[in-house]
Amino acid sequence: MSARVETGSARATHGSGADKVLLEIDGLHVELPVGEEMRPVIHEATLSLAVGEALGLVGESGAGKSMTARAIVQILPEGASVRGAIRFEGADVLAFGKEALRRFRASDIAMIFQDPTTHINPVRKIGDFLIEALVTNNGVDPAEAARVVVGFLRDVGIDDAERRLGQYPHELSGGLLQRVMIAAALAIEPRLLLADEPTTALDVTTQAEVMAILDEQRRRRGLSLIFVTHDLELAAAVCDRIAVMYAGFLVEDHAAATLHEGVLHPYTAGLLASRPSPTERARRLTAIPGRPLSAFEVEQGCPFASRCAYVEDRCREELPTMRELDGGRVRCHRAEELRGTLTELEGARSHD
Amino acid sequence: MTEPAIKVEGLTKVFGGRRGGGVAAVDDVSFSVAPGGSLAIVGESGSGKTTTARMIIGLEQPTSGRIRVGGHERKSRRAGSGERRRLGREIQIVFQDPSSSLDPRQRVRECLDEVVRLHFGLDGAARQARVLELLHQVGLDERHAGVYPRALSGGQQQRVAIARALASQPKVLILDEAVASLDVSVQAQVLNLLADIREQTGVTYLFISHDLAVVRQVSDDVVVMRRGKIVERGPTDRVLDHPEHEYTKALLLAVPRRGWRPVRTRLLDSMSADLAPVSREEEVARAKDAAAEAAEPPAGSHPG
Repeated sequence: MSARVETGSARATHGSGADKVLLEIDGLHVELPVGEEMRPVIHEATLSLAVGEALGLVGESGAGKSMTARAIVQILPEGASVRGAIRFEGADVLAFGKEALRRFRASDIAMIFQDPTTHINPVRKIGDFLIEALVTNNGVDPAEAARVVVGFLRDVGIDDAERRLGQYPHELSGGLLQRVMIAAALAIEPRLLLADEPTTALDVTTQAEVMAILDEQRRRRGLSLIFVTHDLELAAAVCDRIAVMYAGFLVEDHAAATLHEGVLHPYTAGLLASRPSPTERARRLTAIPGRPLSAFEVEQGCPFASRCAYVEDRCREELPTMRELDGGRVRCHRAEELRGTLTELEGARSHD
Repeated sequence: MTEPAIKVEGLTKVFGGRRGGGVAAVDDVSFSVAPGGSLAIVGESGSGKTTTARMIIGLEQPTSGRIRVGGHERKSRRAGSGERRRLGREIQIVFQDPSSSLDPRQRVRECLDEVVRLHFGLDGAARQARVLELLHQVGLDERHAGVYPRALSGGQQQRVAIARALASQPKVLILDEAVASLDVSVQAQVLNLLADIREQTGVTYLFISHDLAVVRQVSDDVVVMRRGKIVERGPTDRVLDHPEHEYTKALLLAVPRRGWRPVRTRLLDSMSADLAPVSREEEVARAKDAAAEAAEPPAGSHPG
């Protein structure tokens, strides 16, 4: 193990900053140009992330979860219009100049994407890719960098690290390449990891392995994590908190440990109930009618109203605000009265 | 005893074997499915599950082995048009990605009418009624008949692909990762729909999937494939409740669910170490099976 890694874990253990806020997203609203008009992709997202905390950002297609992650690092598509505030350790990310933004991306945040092959140069060796980042961003001497990189590869479960350094990306399996990307992310010693569907393209057994490694290494180093995924159960397994998005709105923010028992939003409850279980066969799955809406399709009222089993007139007219309830937050007019009944929706499945 | 809807014996596919040294992507696979039954072939990339499905539907020629569908022996030579039409009434397939298996220039009505016209001597009014019946069967209606696929959501497109596959009233429907790319809330609708269709029509399912939760929901029996071979088989509930093979156990442990934690296991690595070192040829065969999974065949390449 390298000295560098030990520095990382030391930082985690003297962490008095358990409740210290690392990242704040306040009233985020993003629009993208489509032809002549501007279309919303995020209506409203307000979130905060503590030092060392892991947040799962969950939703179906068009929910705005990836865009939220991209807004944090300012890698939105050309012509995007962003309102609201994003603060990293109190600094206003949206006001960063070119140089501040470069430093922020290079040393404070590391991203891990779904398809590593689009983020690694196919004609350069794994070793060059890993070492270059350390040399240019952290000013490490190349020989020292090579030694350090081997340590990081071992940390992500790659035992024959020296041999891997001499290989090209296409010579590695998808799971191995994703572990290299995690090693690369850890090597810059960031404060925050942003992982966008990092295991979606992998086989299930490889997914479990890669998630276990990501989780273990993140905890050991005391890093914060934003994990963007469509898989609610996967997020709940490795995150402290779950933020559910629907049609460009944040609709629920809940502790992962109590999500099943204390689910607050009908959409979250519907997501939990519609996924089949590997351990028991349901006579019939509890499906949510209709399809997920994209942010630009939302009209007035609650964005989920057209698919919600608990809809009332008020839901179609008035957009609910995000408010605190049972230690979490929820955007639903009927949250208080539905409390406790939504979990039965999930339970009903196994009994019928 | 009734003739099985599908019976496969000693099915083998060797890739890259022209000068010897080829490796089997599918290696001596045998199974049968009773009429109206549902068998899932479960495995990960390179397991051979997709190549098995492609041989049964006729997109790939077996190196050896026998395939019987609806009591008819599959001929090894290329089928003529009459033979292809007959095959189309026996077996159909639905792929993972409907946007690449539906013709973008064809309205939904024409897409279904084409198949009905090919297989049945019906007049215009009867065909129109049949198209509507098919749409209703998959939870769509007349409003969807006049639109192009691009105007539909992913879930609706997959419903159209299922309706098209059902249009020839096949005895067997192969569902090749057919719900894998759908959003969770829509996936549940389509899984319920598939259960309804089997109950109503008595069609036989061959379900190709990597997802044990989906497999539990849709299949009566399961075969687990790894590296071209069947490693475990049996009634789905028995295999998933009491898996015997280490690989089945590992697959099951890897499915996220309530209370689950990802485990950094060395199981799979140590299992591979027990087997012979992977040769270049084997890698090629596995890659071909994985590529077949990823690649969508051109529209209309399936029989019917």
